Amino acid sequence: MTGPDFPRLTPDNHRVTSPPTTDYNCIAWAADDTERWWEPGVYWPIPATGYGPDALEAAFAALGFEPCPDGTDEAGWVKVALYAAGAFATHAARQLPGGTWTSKLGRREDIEHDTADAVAGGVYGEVFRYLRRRTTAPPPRPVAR
Amino acid sequence: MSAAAPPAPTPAEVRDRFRRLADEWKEQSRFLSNTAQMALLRPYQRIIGMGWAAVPHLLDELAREPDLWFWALEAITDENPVPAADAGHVRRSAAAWVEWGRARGLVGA
Repeated sequence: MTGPDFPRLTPDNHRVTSPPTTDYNCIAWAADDTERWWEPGVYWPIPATGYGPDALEAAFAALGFEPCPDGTDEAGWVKVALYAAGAFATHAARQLPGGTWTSKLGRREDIEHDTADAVAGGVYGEVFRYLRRRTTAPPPRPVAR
Repeated sequence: MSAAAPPAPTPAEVRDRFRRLADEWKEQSRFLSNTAQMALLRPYQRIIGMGWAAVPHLLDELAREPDLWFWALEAITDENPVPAADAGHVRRSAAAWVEWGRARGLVGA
């Protein structure tokens, strides 16, 4: 999982943690859902407003996440990193207890990576926002079309 | 003076073109999650451009390997047979489309 799509991934800074599947995408995975492919207008927590960075941030805001300065590990909080390339929101990663991160790579595998930045710089562009939510927060509200 | 339209492709040419474009799209989109970004890739757009000729191949592909072909199917057919409760569920959405195609004699044709 290295090369031009992921120029910052190295054999030492990530580990594959699942087989490939089309059952869910990175956004679903960041939101703890392994049943659905999250897509504006199809399965999304708010009415669809597009496919760009603002739409992705608004979706996670609807799940109770709020902006935070960076991806440092903070006790009592779960964080997500949102990525964009040009006009498109491209990816979301979720921080694991202990400070590493987990990502679903499109239709491919889940990986654990040491930093949020490790999957940036290529096909996903760069992190444009870090968000956080209390680990004691209630489960996400039901998702509607 | 308008240019003459090219001759209609044979069924084998349609099948081969679909297969090639589908394989290209799967390769180019393998790490993507944003469905709009995936649908704007050139091979996917070319499959949509094939129109109804692509539909039996899309349905066969869904029956073989569920994937994100729903955008193309909706664009071509102007239909969406996926029940609201199954929205976002790739396997159930694929099954709904395959069933829709079977009812119209489009699967395995």
